[in-house]
Amino acid sequence: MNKQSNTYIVTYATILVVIVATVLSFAAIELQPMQQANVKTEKMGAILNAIGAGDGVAAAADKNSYVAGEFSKYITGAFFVDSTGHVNEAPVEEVLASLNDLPAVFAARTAMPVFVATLSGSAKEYVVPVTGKGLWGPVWGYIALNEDCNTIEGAVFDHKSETPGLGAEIAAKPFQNQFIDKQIFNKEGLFVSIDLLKGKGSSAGNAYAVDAISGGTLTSNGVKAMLFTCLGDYEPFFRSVQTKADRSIVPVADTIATDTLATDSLTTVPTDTLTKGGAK
Amino acid sequence: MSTQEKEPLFSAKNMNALLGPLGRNNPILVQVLGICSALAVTAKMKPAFVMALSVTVVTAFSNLIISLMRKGIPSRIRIIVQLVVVAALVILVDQVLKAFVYDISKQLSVFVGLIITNCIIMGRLEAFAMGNKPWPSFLDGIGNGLGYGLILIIVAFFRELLGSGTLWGYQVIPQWCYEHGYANNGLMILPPMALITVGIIIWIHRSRNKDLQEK
Repeated sequence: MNKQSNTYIVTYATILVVIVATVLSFAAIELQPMQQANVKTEKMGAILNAIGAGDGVAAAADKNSYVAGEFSKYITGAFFVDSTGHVNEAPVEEVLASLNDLPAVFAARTAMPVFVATLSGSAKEYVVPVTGKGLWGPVWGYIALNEDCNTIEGAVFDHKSETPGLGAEIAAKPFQNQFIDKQIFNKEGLFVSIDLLKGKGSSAGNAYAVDAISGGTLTSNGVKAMLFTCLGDYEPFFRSVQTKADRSIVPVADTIATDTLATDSLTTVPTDTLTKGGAK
Repeated sequence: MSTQEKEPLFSAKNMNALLGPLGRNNPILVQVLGICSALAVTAKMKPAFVMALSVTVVTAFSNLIISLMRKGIPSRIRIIVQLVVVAALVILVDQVLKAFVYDISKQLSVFVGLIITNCIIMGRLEAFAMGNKPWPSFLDGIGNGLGYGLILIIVAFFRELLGSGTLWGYQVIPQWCYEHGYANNGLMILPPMALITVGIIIWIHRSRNKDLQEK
């Protein structure tokens, strides 16, 4: 057979591609459940870290089942809030699934996820996701707030491709620990978010700021903008919690009106202005 | 392959294909191939190790597969055929990493995909697998992958130790050193220091193998 003939080449290429495609699709389908479980575990692990209950994760033999167990132990509820602060109860699984495309969630602002964590005793914390842009790619994180929706109990950040040693330090403990006990509303009750100040130690004694990362200015700016916009989106919800005398979550009956309110004006924000796939 | 001659599995020639790349004929040090990824993944030892392992698997099996196919590959599209085989293997490795070691696959991120463009693989396919039997080709692939991995681990060892004060993620530089003014060298974490480290290793390698020195 003439190996240089066009017929041979085309046939050869076709058969090769079909074989390769079959093998790859088989592998992709077989491995998909495990990959999705890993992605979910990562998100649940990050939420556990935010409430300070994720210390045992690294040592756990079976990470997926350990994280799932801890998660169901601490996370006692979850719901969606819209840009007016209305609460829409939802199963935890459904709220977790919404984390897969956070940029779209914050572009629409109709169903932003909130997790309720109950820690030892009856201390309650709210965990909200945040997402934004760093220097090279998306950055995201989870902020755990005290029951007063003002004091930060813990913060976790992660990134897709920030520079190791510089911007990537946002994913390290020393940076994240600075956020503990900081406040997002000032004494006058205005929403101020958390500022990132240049220079080591420059935020000392400031309840509304942390030290930015030296050498990671653009990433720090991204984190600052992310906190301001995303926590700002939750502001109506935080205020509604703060004004409730008993500080309990809005009862289910109150959420009936949410569906009509949800489709209001704010849904017209174009989704493509934000980087897609922030929390993949 | 029915005409295969009786040759011991680990004959001198085969051992040379396997071990040569670890020393005298190292792909990074002598052929200066695969430098790009060597710079990118060597800030910490763990990702460097996984990258080394992944590249070894891909070089070994792409060499094996191409060598098995070498008599049928039309020479006009041979580069494309090689690329398809390498790309398929790389995607498989990527999927397996995502399923079993998710954390590390996240750290390696785009670099796993970039194994496809690692010159070592295409270089070995063209230079060895297209003209040799499957078994020597397989050994040659393993050897070159390990030779590449060896340099990666050495570079990562120094970069992690001096840049982060840790090895394999464990703190090895004791706290009192920091209290007495020792600081991690941030430059070690950045790619330029990887290049310099590789340069130093090449320097040592050349001074030990004098015949490699250019006149």
